Amino acid sequence: MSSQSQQDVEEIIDRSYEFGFVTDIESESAPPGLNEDVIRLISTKKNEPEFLLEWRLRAYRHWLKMREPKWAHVHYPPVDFDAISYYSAPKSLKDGPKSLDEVDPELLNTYEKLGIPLHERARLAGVAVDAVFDSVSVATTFKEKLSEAGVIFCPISEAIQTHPELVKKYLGSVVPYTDNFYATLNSAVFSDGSFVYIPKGVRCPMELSTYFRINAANTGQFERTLIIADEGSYVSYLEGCTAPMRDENQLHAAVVELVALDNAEIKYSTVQNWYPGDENGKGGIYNFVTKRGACLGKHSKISWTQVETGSAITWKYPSVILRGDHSIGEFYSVALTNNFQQADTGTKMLHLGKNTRSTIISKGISAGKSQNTYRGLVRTGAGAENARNFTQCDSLLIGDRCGAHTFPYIESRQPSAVIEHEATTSRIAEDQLFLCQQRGIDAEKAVSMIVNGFCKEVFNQLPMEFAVEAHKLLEVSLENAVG
Amino acid sequence: MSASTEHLLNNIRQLQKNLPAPDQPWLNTFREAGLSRFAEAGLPTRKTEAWKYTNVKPLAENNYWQNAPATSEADTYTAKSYLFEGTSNPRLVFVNGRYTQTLSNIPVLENGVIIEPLENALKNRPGLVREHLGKAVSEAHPFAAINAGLIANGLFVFIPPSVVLNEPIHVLLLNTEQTTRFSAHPRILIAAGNHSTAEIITHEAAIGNVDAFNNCVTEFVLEAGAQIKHSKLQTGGNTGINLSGCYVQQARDSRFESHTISLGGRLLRNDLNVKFTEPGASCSLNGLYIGCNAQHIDNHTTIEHAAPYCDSHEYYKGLIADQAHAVFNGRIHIHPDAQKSNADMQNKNLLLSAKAEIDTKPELEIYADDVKCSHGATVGQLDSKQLFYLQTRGMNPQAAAQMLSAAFLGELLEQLPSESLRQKATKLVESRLHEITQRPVR
Amino acid sequence: MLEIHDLHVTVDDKPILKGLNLTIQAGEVHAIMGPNGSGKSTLSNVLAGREDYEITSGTIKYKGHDLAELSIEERAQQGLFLAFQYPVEIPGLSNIQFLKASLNSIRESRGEGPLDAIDFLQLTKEKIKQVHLDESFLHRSVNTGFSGGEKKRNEILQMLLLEPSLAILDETDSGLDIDALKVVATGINALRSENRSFLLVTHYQRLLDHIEPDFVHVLADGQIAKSGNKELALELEQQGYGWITQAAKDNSQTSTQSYSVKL
Repeated sequence: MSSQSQQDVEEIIDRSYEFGFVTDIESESAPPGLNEDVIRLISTKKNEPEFLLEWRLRAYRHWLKMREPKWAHVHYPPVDFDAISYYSAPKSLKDGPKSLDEVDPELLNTYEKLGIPLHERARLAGVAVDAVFDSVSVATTFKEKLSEAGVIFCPISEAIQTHPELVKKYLGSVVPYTDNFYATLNSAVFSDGSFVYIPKGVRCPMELSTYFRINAANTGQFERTLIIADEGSYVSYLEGCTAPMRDENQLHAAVVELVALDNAEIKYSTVQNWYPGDENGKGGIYNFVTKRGACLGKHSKISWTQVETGSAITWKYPSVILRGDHSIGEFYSVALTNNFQQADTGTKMLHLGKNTRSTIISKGISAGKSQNTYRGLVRTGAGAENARNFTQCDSLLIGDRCGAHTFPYIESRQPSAVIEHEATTSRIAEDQLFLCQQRGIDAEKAVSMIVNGFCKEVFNQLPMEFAVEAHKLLEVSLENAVG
Repeated sequence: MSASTEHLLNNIRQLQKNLPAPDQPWLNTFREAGLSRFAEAGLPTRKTEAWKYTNVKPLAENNYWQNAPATSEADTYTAKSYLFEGTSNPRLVFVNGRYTQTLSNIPVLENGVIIEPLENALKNRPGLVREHLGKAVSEAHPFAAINAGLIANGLFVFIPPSVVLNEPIHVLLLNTEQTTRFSAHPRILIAAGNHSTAEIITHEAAIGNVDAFNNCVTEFVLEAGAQIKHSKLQTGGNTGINLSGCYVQQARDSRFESHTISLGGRLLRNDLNVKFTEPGASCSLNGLYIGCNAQHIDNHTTIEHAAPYCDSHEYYKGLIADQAHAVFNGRIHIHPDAQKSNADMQNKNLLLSAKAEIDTKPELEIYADDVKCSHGATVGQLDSKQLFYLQTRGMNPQAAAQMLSAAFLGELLEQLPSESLRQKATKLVESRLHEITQRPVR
Repeated sequence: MLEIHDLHVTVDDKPILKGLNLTIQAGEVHAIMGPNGSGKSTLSNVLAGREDYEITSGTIKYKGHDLAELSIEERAQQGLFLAFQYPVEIPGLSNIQFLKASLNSIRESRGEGPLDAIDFLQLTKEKIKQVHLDESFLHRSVNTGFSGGEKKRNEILQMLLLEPSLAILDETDSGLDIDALKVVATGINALRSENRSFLLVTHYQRLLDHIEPDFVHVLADGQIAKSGNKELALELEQQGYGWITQAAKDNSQTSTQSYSVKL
């Protein structure tokens, strides 16, 4: 690339992390390190029923026997699990807010800065927000309107108190506590997260949203989200993530479980913008997340859409178990890595039922010295008659020091199944930028156009507000991308 | 080192003792290095990513670690029917891993071309062999390591610069039924000088219920501008294990073309690794496999683009029926600075039975930005519209299925460079397809 | 040749043909016309034996056989030929290989031996001239990369080679330019004889300018709504299908009413 256009692009995309402020509020943390006492402490703090404590302890004992997975295409120094604090609650919230008015104004300011539509803006936007600050749910808006429709949307800690039967039935039903190293750790120590239940035949009247933010230093965030869509129901759920700038790496190991019964549909969208570390690779979040949905019912549908721009390391495979006949799984992903970021992300589509369909559209953008990996599994079991999968997996490279990798696993045991996988690699080339500029389009716009054009199929899946945010995020994240 | 690896290592050392050993320290060092690489890697398990779908545990459980009994008259007689037609070609026949002179034909060679059994070459021209041996096998592949540890039998071919070999070299590796299990570890080493041209046809065959472990390594070292075509036909064998490795190193502007036709074998694994070390090299890798009965056919390929301006093209197609299990793992690795690389890879499969399985994994690992890479994989069945069309034109469903299967695989047969091999392979494919499609629907 | 009686056919549980009656004698040329969605292609596919088309009631007799009892290829071997509306592409299978296998399987069922390679080639070359296709098409994969007109001419080539007793041409004329249309029509006319019948399924009258039918039928709402001679086709060309389809709907309403009266 010519030095002129290189400079142009560098200037244009040289923006710093906008969300890296630290909120100055007192927080109450458990001492660093993990043992059964810490787990009992978490459970007691949350006044949990006995079954949950037992489940946590079983998970912890299992975790002790496990080893960190090494197969992902990422490299990082070993995580010191004893240096992490497994519980951090903003102190002023010890007794829990009763309404928005009781929420620490400092926190509300934080959300203002993050641009979360929590107050009137939320009402205007028609979005119900559950905000998880470090590990505790802060406030859930629009509870009343939702409860009129019979929708339960609350922190999972609250659901444990108010709807223990639902929690007991579904918690760990999609991601068992033995699932993998990080999911098992999460099962032992999760502190909060969102809980959604959509009753039979109900179309959730608004989009539900959760914003996650890690604030305190040296804390791990282990939220747990559980969404159950009963027969014939529909819900669209949005998840946003940010974290302050810190030198140390912070661990985020969440678990999301989705359950869709007959004819139900869940649409789960994520815009992940955890702090990615600085341009030298210092700091940033380790995002080791297990997300999985089970299409249990006939004609059910689960759709994952993700825009991943943050985190130092992302290790995440939102998956769908297509158990119900005629069920549908979808995965739409944009993963952008820059500087020293590493992403190993993709999906698993496990076809078990008849006439099940899945679609995978993955767009990876690598810039700087980053490594971006798509890893996916499509498996059709012997009973998955007429299963169909289509996978399109594209990589865009910006700069010659980054990496783009594709590891698709296709396993078929079903002769009537049809599976198609395609992958391409392209780059933003000097001559493309030159052409744009020659036609009067400046380099900033040209890069943005090319990148957005590349991601269009995925952005089209996002709710409007998120799509706008996603566009903006991509531009911001491409700092120092061209070289 | 695990106990099973240690046990195997002892077995291999026993075999090593009986090798014809020209007294050459470098050769002993070479063998030792091989064994220590194996000791380090160990016998792969299903947890080893490259062996996730292929189980080689029988190698630890069964005693394959002995040489075959001496080649008998009967063996030689049987081998005759496997020879390619045409007598003028250089032809080398190995029965149960041993060079069989009576069946072989090495014509008078001109221009300094060398074609001789490896055993002889190690004695006659150790310098030349040493210069090339192991050059292309860079990776710590456990079975290539064993092969290195047991190096003795096989073939050495040297094509001097600018020499064009007009006739393809035929190599037959045949295993015949014996009363005991045995293994063979032949090494075929092909060194192609600057701008030389040659074609090699390898036929790996096994008779009936031969329960042998074939661990063949073929090594190609291509100097600048060399052009090599290699076709490999694999047939026969209802039992036993065939691990067939092929390692290619390509210098500037060289071209390598490979055709692998896998029809036989109970457990068959092909490792095909190509490395471009200098700019302008290209390769084209084609593969065809048909799995039936309880066959397990695994094709692993790796193309290392370690230099800029190289092109690779890969096309594998397979048909899997009955309880067969096929695996395809294609890896394209574009190194940093390997700009202007072009790579495309396609794997297409027809899965014809509810008990068959296909696992395919086309991988891209890319560390340079100015590259054109694509890959695709499909798994499907015969097209019902096409079947219907053929039936409306009077063909019964079996004939229609056979015809469509042949059409699916045909394009790979057409590309075989040797006319006689094409005819032979086409016949074999047709009869295999007939066998599969005539069976009652399961 | 063909007798269809009170034929009811559903596709994906949706009724398409609702009591169709049609008789074709040897040597006759019948044209079936009708608006889109009236069931024309369904009729062609049912006659050829395509799966997914379920005969829920009614009978089809072909040369005295119950057609439903015959497999797809047995129908073909008995001389029933369908020229497809959208001929499928088969990459990798050469046209000549395909034509040879087809012709020989049909000859075999007639008790004739297979043609040897030379006779077959001679015959094919002769026929391919009639459809104005280059001989190179014989060596290309079946229909692969052919233009719409070339695919249709390839269908006619197959018909000329196989010499069927009953040829069903499913919208063979649609999408053809006038030259291609003439080629197709000439091919069909060349085969007309007293022991061979044709069923032309078409949306447009213009094919009938080149092939004179003995009977014209209008298919509407899954039934033959009107039958006549070639004048009917001209009438349709001028007035459209509206008047007939409306009448068909009225008719079906009337019949429903009379049914309820019976109750």
